[in-house]
Amino acid sequence: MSVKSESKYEKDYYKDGICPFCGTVKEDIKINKKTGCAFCFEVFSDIIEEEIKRKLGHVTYKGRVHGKNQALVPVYRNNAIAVSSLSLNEAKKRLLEIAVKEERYEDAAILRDEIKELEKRDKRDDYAE
Amino acid sequence: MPNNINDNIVLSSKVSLKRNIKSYPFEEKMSTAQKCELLTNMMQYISLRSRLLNSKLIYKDAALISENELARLIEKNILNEKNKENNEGVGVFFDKSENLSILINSDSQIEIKSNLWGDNLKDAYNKVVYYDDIICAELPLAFNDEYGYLFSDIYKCGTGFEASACLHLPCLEYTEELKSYAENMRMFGILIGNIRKSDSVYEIKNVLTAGISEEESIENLEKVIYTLVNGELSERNFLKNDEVMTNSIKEAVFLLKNAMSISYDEFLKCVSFVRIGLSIGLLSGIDKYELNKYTDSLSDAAIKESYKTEEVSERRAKLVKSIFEKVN
Repeated sequence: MSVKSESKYEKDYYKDGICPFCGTVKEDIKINKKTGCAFCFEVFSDIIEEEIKRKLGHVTYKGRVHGKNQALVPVYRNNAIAVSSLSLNEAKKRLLEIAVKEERYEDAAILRDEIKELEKRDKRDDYAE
Repeated sequence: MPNNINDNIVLSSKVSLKRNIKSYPFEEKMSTAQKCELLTNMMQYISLRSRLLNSKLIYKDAALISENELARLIEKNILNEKNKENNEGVGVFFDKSENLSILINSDSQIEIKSNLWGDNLKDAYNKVVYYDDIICAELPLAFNDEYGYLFSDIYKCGTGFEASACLHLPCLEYTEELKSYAENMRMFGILIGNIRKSDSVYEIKNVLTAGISEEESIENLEKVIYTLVNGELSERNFLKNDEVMTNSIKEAVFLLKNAMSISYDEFLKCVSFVRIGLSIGLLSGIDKYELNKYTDSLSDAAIKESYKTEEVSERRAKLVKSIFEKVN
């Protein structure tokens, strides 16, 4: 996916030297050698290339690549409905706790409704079985 | 049980693979809400794949566990030192043996780690790769054909692979030979760091992740380990008749058998001498692999958790006495 093909609004960010995704500015890269997200590598590709070449020389990536050495992927697809040790419900309850702690009550209300809905669905499934 | 000759010197092997997700900012720019969201997504994602994984994973939320358990998990290298603070949205999955863990939102968004006893770098790597294939297979990872896996620090982009081994090198330290080894190894992108001053345990670690494959990194590290082990063994042979060394070994055993209270540092220092004693044939009566087990189970955090006591040094002394009674 190329970020450079995005809207005009985002192209303006490129011109200004700001990453549209995380707000990193080119000075962060030049001075601190730090990026903020994966898209920074496209937005600031010239600066990053120059910096890496200066410090490490010309390097070619030689390691593992996902999707090319994945013998296990088809196995996973056949077992898509795997036994889950952590249910969706538990995960949402965890999010609810955090939302209450951070006083995000609107999010908490949505999550509470979703949990109720999931519990209803679980009960229906149990009944059907 | 490992049966390699190096196991008396190579105490443990650690391997980790770090990954970031393309659709989230990197760790430093992530908000707590984003961390919690990613953590919850990962909880669901990993649980969906649980049947494929060899063992059932235990989940712990770094923000919700006790201070003592946090310290114990850091000692076991399951959590990182930085997880002591700002640990909201940090979670870890690990297997029952605590040999493998998947850490979410720490140094990177996903970090798969394996720690094994002894000289087992390849086994640890295979274990990590197996989990990496299952867990990261369909995730939209931050990856670039030119640089590899992407991280906040531009110089760390590459394989995201880190391998290290903990070596017990008291004789190379004693003769100050280690300094010259360290200088030579830096040229190959391998660093030697003293992780515990008390018992001469050094961590040998790869730092190069760009322009080198994971297998090449392991090969380089293994070559270095081989050189260090040989150096240490020849120094031990040379120091066999050194009076200062043999006296120190005897003193350490005496202290372990008779102390009323012993700190963890003192204990490790004594165990270090016991290891040398076993290696040069001066001591017997205890299996060298057992020592690895004790260095873990007798730490402050482990004693506090197992025995629910605050008098850690006194309790340790009692335990140590019973363990080392048979050493002579």
